[in-house]
Amino acid sequence: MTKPALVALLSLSLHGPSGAQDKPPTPPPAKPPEGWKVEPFSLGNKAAGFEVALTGYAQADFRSFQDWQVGDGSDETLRADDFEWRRLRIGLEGEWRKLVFEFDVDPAFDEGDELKDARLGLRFSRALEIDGGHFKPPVSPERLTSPAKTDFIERAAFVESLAPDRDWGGMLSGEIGRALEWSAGVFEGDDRTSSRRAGTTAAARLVLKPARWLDLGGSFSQGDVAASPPSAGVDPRPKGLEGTSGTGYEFFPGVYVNGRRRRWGADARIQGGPVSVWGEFLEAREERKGQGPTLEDLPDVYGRGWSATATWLITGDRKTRTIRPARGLPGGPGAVELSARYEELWFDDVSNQGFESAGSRAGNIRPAGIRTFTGGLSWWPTRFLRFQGNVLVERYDDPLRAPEPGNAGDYVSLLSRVQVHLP
Amino acid sequence: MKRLLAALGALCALAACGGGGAGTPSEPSATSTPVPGVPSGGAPIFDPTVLHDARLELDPAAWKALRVNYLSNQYYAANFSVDGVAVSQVGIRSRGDGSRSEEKPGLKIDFNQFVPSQEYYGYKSLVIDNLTQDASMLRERLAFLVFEAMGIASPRNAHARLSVNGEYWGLFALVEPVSKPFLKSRLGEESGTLFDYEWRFHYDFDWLGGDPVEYVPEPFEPETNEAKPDVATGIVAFIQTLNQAPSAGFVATMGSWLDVDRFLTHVAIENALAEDDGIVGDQGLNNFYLYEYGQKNRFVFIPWDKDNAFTSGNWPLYRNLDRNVLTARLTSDPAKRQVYAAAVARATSEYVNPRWLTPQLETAYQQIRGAALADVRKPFSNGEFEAAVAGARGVIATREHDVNAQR
Repeated sequence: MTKPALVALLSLSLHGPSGAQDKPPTPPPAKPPEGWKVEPFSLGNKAAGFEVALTGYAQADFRSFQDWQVGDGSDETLRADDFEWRRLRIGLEGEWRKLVFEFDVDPAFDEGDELKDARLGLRFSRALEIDGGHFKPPVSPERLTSPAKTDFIERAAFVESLAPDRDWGGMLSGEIGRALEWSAGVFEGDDRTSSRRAGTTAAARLVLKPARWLDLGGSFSQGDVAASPPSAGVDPRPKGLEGTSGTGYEFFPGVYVNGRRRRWGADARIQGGPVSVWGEFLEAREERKGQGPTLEDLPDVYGRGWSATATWLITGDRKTRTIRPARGLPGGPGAVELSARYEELWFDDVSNQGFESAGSRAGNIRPAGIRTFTGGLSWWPTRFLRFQGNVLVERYDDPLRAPEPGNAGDYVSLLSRVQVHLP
Repeated sequence: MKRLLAALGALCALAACGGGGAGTPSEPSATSTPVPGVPSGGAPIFDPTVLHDARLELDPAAWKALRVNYLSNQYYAANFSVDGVAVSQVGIRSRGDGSRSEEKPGLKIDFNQFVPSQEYYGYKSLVIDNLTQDASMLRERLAFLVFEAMGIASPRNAHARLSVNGEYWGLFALVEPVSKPFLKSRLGEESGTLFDYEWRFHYDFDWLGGDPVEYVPEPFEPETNEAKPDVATGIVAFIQTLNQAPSAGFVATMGSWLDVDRFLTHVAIENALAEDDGIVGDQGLNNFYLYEYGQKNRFVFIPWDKDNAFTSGNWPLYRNLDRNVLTARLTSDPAKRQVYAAAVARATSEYVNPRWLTPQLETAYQQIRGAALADVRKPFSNGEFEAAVAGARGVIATREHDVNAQR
């Protein structure tokens, strides 16, 4: 995208879609047919039970690694450049009577990974909806949150490393009263575009809401991973889950797995007014049947992580899933949020006997972990625009697995983002 | 409000500009980091005056798998040390062509296989030669000494007793890998393309047509710049030129592609050493690296794997030169034929003779003898070891006279 185009987009974001403030009066648009409501990015007819809306956002990320040398991208140790068009999401969502649908793509992603959500559902009642298509299995609340709405630029490392991602499947979901949300589905795998994808995966999530300000959630998924057959030369790439830091550094490359991959997670959120406090735990455990150097069974490998997050909208806006500043520019300051997160993620096997090895067929896996503190500042000057700045401080448990061998940390990185989105 | 805007702007600008930090992902990376505690700037593990003590520690199941699957290049994690200087979580794999062995595997150690950027004395990898194709176990070491003495950069090489999980596994050689550190320290630059010549068929630099796949990645396997789409362009042009350039002015033409005298000296040393598996080997080209300097259509040959040296004391001066296109065309020029012959003569009169090389042999022999005799996994008997050393002595004793007799 050219700089003038970006400036134009930012200008649109700052002034809103009408851009009418400085322009002479224009003739009123043609009146829509009876019952139809036309908004800048949506069209609806309540009587017909129809609504369709354009969705989308663009994100430009800037990164700076303060304390460490980073790879040149050739060895896959880092995902991102210092500048990256991170996402360019465009889609449609809507409903017609009981039918609901959602479709969006991201041409900024690599070939084959452009398709994001493609979901068609029937909503029989609040208590029961049936969906099919391509979407995220219901595990990990942070994974299920759109990257346009997460509290930080990067999701927690353990979520990125352990949680499943979009795949083809079907799901039942609903809400019982105001106290219980549930969802359960079966998917073709646990991440369609991943080389580490499991086979058919069942996933479920339950959220209890004992009070308006409190959510208590639990998630579970289970699928089987089939190891690639050994080849005559070098073994195929391992399919075990890998550990990647928030800055994209792969500190645990994954091991050979074969058999069941099981995840379980728990989360809690307290939210009231401008403040939220929440935490999440997730564990993924994988079997390693016949994956030893001499084809013996190995002890299960696990990845385990947790995070604790606090956010505060210092402008007094209400903390919701979608932040809409009460007093946006130019009349007000917009919405400003301070946030902080601490998280840990580590990998090991369930037994600890014998030579501790970083090898991909290690009987006794050399543990690898990372602890990360993230401080964040978000500013929504208007409904269409968000600026974010994050400071990440990363410390590795195993100095040998750190970006600079022997130096466990701290590694400080600065991340910032400009996001333009449809409301 | 203004303060808030300024703070956010500063943070964004700081991130976007890099904040003066040590590096960004878009910069050329300093892809290597020394192992803490390991001295840099030298390579004492290649000091030939010491019989080194190399140790491997790894999962016994992994060691067993490496040996059983000795034809595979699968890596296993291990801890490694030489003379007490340790490096953790290196990748080891079986290596070699004809030398691959289940009983006494030759090993390649990649220090950064499991620990990104890890180095050992500045090296990302190390070859542990199992010495199974040379009953004397010291031919290569002696041969490389001669190459170096003659001014041809060659891998450093030293012997070591290797133990695996505390068990003595035999006498091996620690061989400096021909890789970027070698190129940088010995040739002065590393930006070009390094080709490892992998013997696949009898080939003598013949023109196989203009299709790059006839040459790259086999038999010329790129070890650097592998991902460059035009990685084969230079070498194809080089081979085309050496085949198709007119005879008139051929030496001058080739002079723009390589240091002709240096190349002829390389070949001369091989024949002075009575080596039958090198550039003019009996089975065609073998056992060398070819380096194409960065930004230049210019090449240099680097010797490798000289355990077939000292084959015989009686060795034709111009042996096989006529079979290789490049050596045949260059030595058809009388002046260059004289350069070649003079190089053979200098190699034998100054180095491959009892005055210079025999003391080197005896020193090496005394150094390794005990470890060699205790090596029960070598594919030859102790008697054969002694006989092979005696054979090398004999070749050294006769080469100078033999060469002089042929001039």
